[in-house]
Amino acid sequence: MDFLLQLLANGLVNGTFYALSALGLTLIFGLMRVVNFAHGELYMVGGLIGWALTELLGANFFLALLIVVIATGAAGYLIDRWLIERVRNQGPETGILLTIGISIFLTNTALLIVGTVPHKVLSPFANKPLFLGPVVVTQSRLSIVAICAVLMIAVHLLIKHTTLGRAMRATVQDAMAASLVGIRTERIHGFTFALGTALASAAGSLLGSIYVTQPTIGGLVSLKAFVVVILGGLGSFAGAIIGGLLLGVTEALWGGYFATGYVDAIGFALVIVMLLVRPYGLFSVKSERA
Amino acid sequence: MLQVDSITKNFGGITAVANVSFAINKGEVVSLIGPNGAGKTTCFNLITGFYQPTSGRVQFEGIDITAFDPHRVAQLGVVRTFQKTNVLPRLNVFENVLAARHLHGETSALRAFFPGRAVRVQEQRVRDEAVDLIETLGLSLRINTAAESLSCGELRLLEVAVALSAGPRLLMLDEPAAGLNTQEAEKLGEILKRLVGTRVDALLLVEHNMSLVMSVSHRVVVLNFGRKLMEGSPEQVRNSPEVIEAYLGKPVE
Amino acid sequence: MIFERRFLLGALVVAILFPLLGWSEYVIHVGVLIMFAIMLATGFNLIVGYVGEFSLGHTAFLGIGAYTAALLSSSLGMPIYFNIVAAAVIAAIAGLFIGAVTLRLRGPFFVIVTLCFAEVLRIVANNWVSVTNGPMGIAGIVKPEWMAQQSALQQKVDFYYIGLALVVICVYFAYRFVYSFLGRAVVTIRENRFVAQSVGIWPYYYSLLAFVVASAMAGVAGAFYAHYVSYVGPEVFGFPFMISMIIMVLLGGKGTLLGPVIGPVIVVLLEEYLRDFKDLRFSIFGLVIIVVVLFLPQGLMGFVAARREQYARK
Repeated sequence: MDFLLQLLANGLVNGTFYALSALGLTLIFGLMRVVNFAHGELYMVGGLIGWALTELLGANFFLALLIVVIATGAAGYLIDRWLIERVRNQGPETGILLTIGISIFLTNTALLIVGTVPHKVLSPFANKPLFLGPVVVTQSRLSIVAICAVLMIAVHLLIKHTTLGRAMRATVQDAMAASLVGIRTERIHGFTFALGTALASAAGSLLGSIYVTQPTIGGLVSLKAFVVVILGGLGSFAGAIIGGLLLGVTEALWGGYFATGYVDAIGFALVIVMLLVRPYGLFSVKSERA
Repeated sequence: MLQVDSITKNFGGITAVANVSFAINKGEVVSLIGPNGAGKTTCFNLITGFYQPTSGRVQFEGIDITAFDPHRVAQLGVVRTFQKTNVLPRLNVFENVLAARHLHGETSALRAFFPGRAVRVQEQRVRDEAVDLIETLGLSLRINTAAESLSCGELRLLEVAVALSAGPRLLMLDEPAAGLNTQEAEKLGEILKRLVGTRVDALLLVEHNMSLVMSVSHRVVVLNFGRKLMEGSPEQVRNSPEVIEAYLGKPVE
Repeated sequence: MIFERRFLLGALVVAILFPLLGWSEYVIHVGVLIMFAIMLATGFNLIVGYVGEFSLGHTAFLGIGAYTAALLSSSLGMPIYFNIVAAAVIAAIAGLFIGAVTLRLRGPFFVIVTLCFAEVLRIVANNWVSVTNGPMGIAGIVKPEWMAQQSALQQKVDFYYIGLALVVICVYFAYRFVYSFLGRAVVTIRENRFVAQSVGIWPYYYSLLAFVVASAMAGVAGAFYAHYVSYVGPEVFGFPFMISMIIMVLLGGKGTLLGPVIGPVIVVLLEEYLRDFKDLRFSIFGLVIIVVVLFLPQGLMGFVAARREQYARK
């Protein structure tokens, strides 16, 4: 029983990380209908910048996080306005190809600059184990979970209660109507992509203090994020959270009770099953064709 | 030929079509009219399998096609066009019509990879038939023009040509005269009248252009708010107070 | 159609005569790689260019073909001819199953689910040590006996011609597919699914057919690769092969028959030229994809075809 609880705890911790990491992806898809295949690479960039700031420049962990968010958000805005904007009305395939190109470019440029050595973001949290009943969690993981939760709440508030958030939601529902009431839809797209990028990079910087960060992790991060987002429903905020937790717990249970080598595969198996049974995810509202 | 029995379609809380029934016999031209939002296109979708009815039945030539997928319905001989122009925009007129000739150009997959003389003859025949159809619809001058470069009237004609090319027994046209001027609509009416008995067995139209409806139809079915209001000859419908009220509202006292 | 036929025949003549000009072993090796790449690209183009769906999991079939050949050769000692045919059949069956599942979805869902399948296979290949030898892979795949006594150069020339023969078969099948009612059906589905359905075309069936044919081609390419390189590991399911396929078809021109012939030539030559700049190479590929998507979405042959149509109209 204790073993099960420990697995669940591990799963929930990892799940929260997955959820934060996938949040950017689902927002971009939900608001822009673009599947950002460069998601994992943006995560990786966040991690590497975080490492560079904290280890090479000795900056404070939270300051580094802030810089990462602002810098990558700005970069994301530019990527959207300069690149994605041009192919926005050419169909979804073009956006996918474009972001794949961006992801390849980012991965390999990072490899050139940083090399293959894994790095870590220096955090002020110790690896001290905390005992919550029969379950052990390290202090650092718990702290990061807390920060993740804070970030998720912040984004939720942004979308639900600010003017920018309302403008984003309006653009999602009807871009033409939104522009007719004076919303600058190109800017909204840019901000949305910036938000998604910033979230991915923040996740990379935060999680880079627990897991390693290196140029080649982008692929796996993207894949996991896809799994989460498909389980929860592309575009659903709540879905990303539930999907993330679901993936984390499933992986922990599978790895604990069955084979550990195939742990990564279980997520993909889940996706395949999900796409057959409920392609739109657990939390989406299916709309009829008009 | 076509028997529609009490079909109903609910979308969540909205009932788009409620208990609509009518029939179409060989040799007939039937028009489906009604104000916007009356459920005419929904009926089309229900008959041809693009939507599944919440309840009710659709039968074609005695076969229950209610649950059929759209392509199966088409294979049985019911072909429809769409309210919003749907053609293959990047292909030219000839390629569009040829593509629609699919059911007549089929062979086994094996023969596709190792075509013998028989396949070559069939391919040529299918091409000739496409050209012939394009001529019938009066589009010969534009035969090599990309669909996206056609004028609105020509596009509508192309749509009809594409639908005809599939070789339907029952041809269903959704607002074929939309966007056509009076002359073009008249020309279309002539073409449609000639079709029944020659290329198709029956015609079902959704149309707002009343002069076209009155001149080509044998029978008219009127829908309003998803229900069938009445059914009758063009004269009966034209003079019916209920229909007038549905379109124009109650007369001022 | 006629232009394409002439171009392909001309290219074939050039390809046949090419090794006779007395090149070095390295050049012939590049030629073999080009043959391998054209096989892959032709199949992939059927899915991306004609069916119009973007599959990120095509390496699944490349890998299945490669492992089939590797296992048949190392465990049962089967010769290359048998292995290539077996690989085609097994890859086609895999294509049938995977396609049946994935083609129910479209757009980004299709992209992701195909990627998932390829990843699952890679993980299985990496972990199922008893069959696939895990990360160590299967080595020592024998070349045909009649090659054993030949010089390294001559062996490569032999593989070149075997590859060329396979390329001719693949391109022939692709050509026939495209110019038959099958190709028309698939293009109709791609251009407007509603129209396709309303004229009696069952989108699922025809997409699946194209998918299976493409899978078989990838399987053949995989088997060819296995015998040439004599080693197969889990990286054969990996993303780098996928990237190459994408660039080759994009750059050459998706939805054309000549695109998957021209694209691989350019990309393989580019890859070899950039081999010195080892890591920069992939960065450049990323840039190439971005540039092509932004400025040349129809690829080279697509661009050429569009220009020729303009001239024809004048």
